[in-house]
Amino acid sequence: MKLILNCKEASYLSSIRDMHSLSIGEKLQLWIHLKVCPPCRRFANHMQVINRFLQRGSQSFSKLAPFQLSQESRGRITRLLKEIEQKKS
Amino acid sequence: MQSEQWMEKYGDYLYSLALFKTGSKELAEDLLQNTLVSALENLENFKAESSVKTWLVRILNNKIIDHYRHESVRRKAQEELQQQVNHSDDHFFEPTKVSPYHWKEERYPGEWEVASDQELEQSEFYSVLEQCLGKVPQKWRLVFTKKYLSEQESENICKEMEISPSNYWVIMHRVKLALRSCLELNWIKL
Ligand SMILES: [Zn+2]
Repeated sequence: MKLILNCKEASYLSSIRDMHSLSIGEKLQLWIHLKVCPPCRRFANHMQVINRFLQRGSQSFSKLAPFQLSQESRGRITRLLKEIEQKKS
Repeated sequence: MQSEQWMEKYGDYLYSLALFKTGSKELAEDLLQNTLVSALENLENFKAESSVKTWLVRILNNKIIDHYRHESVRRKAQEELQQQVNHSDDHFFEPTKVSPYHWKEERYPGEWEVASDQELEQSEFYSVLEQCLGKVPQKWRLVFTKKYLSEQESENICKEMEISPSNYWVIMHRVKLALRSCLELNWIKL
């Protein structure tokens, strides 16, 4: 096992670790790299923040429904659906 | 009326999902419309054991997949994907004396003032996220939102999107790389 990761490899491990648990060896490699590399250390911290938001994802997303349909499109789609329903009944 | 209730309760949610996954307002509206039309037409297939919301989301997801299976869309996505895969590393890293891939100085992750994420509203996060996802290739975007918004299993996503597991992890990583710099520019420094 090589002990020294480059920044590309280290950033890769930092960003996937919330989805895919790292092996002991990978954890060690990452730890060593972060000890000596300030930009990767920042990157790893930022990933933690981002991952926390993403993990809260689907539940809060469904509560928030962050985007609203325009009134115009809402009206258009509603009318179309009504027509179909009336035809059916 | 059935459809009015659906629009009222789930319209914005389904629209938000579609917009997040595709990045296009017009397409998201079309997908919402097609989803509800096909729900009305297949009302007799709805099984009471699942919730209406789950059922509608499933129909929407199928519509999105159909859209991307469409040949020309698919070919374009594939080309885009290839180009991005080829270029995106040079974007962030460069060789130095000690390492083949070291952060480019202008790409150094910045100092984030916000130590805890509590001050940052989840809804604010989403609106910036949506903007930032506009900068990644369509197919990556879809892979990423399937994981984080639909919470699909990674194996399923690979199967559906016809990608290998190792490609999958690389895509997730690349999206996060792009996302991080975009968030830094558009959100943290606000
Ligand atoms: Zn590094």
